[in-house]
Amino acid sequence: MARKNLGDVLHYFIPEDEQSEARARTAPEPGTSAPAGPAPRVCLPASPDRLLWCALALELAGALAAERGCARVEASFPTSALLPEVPGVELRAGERPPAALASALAAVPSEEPALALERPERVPELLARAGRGLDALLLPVDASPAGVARALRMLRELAPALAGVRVCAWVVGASTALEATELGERLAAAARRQHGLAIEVAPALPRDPALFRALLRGESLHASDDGSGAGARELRALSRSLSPRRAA
Amino acid sequence: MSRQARARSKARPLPAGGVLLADGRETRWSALSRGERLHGWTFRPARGERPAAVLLCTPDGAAAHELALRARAAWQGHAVAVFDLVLCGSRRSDKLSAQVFDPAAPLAARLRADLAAQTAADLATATALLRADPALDAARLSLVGVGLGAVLAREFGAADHGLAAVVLEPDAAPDDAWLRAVAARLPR
Repeated sequence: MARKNLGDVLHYFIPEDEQSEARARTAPEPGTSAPAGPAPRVCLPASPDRLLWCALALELAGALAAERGCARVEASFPTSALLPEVPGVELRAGERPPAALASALAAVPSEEPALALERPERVPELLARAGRGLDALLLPVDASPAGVARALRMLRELAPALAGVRVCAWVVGASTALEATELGERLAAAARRQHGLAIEVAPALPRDPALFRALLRGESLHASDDGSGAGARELRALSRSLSPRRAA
Repeated sequence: MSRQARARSKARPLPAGGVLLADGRETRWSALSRGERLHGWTFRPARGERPAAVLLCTPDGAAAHELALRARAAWQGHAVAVFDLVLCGSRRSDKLSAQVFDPAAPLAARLRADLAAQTAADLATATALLRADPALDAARLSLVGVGLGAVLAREFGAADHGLAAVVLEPDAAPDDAWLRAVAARLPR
């Protein structure tokens, strides 16, 4: 009879949910081959004081750059010196009107992904100027009831300009995947009921102290993480979810 | 004797189980507080030796909060230290946190005193650690709290701990104007 060693029986002592999580972590991610077709153009409403959202926009651009080789972030306001430098991402920031931001987006080569950071109150004008040049509006949502309420208020202001625009809610900072899903679904249901808007719930970014500490140090997750952390994984999932729609 | 050498000679001892690990502009720290291990971080500004420091209690009590990032940008010249308050962030309990922080829950009233005692012990430990950090100016240590962080820190903040400034505002909206107003009250 063959003798078993510790490695053969270790899984007896690991709960099934932990085993499935580990399997999911090590399984190849779907769609990891280089994406084809035009790169996405996404608008992310954020004011200059929302440093976290600006930093996460850069990190998302880093995930897009990892897929496409490079990515651009165009901001309509000067950004903080504390924002991280993200490999493969070119940040162009400065005070400019929505028309100038739309022109800058139009000038980005079609194979280069681009994110536009615009103050929420000026997003309608940007959408009008950019027209079909923008694929989606990515709305960051703080993972709390107050965050959902703030997102709904923003959607109320933006609703008239969102006809025909793909809107994705990005729940940031939830403690668990379940909490993120529930908040996203609650927002989508309220947006449909109150403003007649169809909102997609994008892959959430969970609360990740490691990502946060990297941002506090002014370092990019993409520069310091080996790609296996929760934050990096979720950013890749989000970047993939933003990519395919336009190619279809 | 130089100012720096004088400061070093006055270096205070670390609290029980205390550890300080400096890595560039970040210092990770840890200590025991009533048997619980605290983990926190201090982020020093890019310029200036032995800066004043602010211990920040965030609106949801968690260290990983956007306010820490904004405080770093707004309070230039100050180091910002954060840690997870009791039952917040990494110390959150699925069973307890929601009930303890809901004033309408019966458990909240029963555990209020213990929560305040643990928070006071945590803050005493954190301030002792920050004062023992040779990279910070121990005489210019302040405590700032907003939202839940201010509520939890109230008992500690009410007593005299020799802090340079104490700003605890449970109901304030931590926007840019608030950050600027707090900056004006911090020691130079």
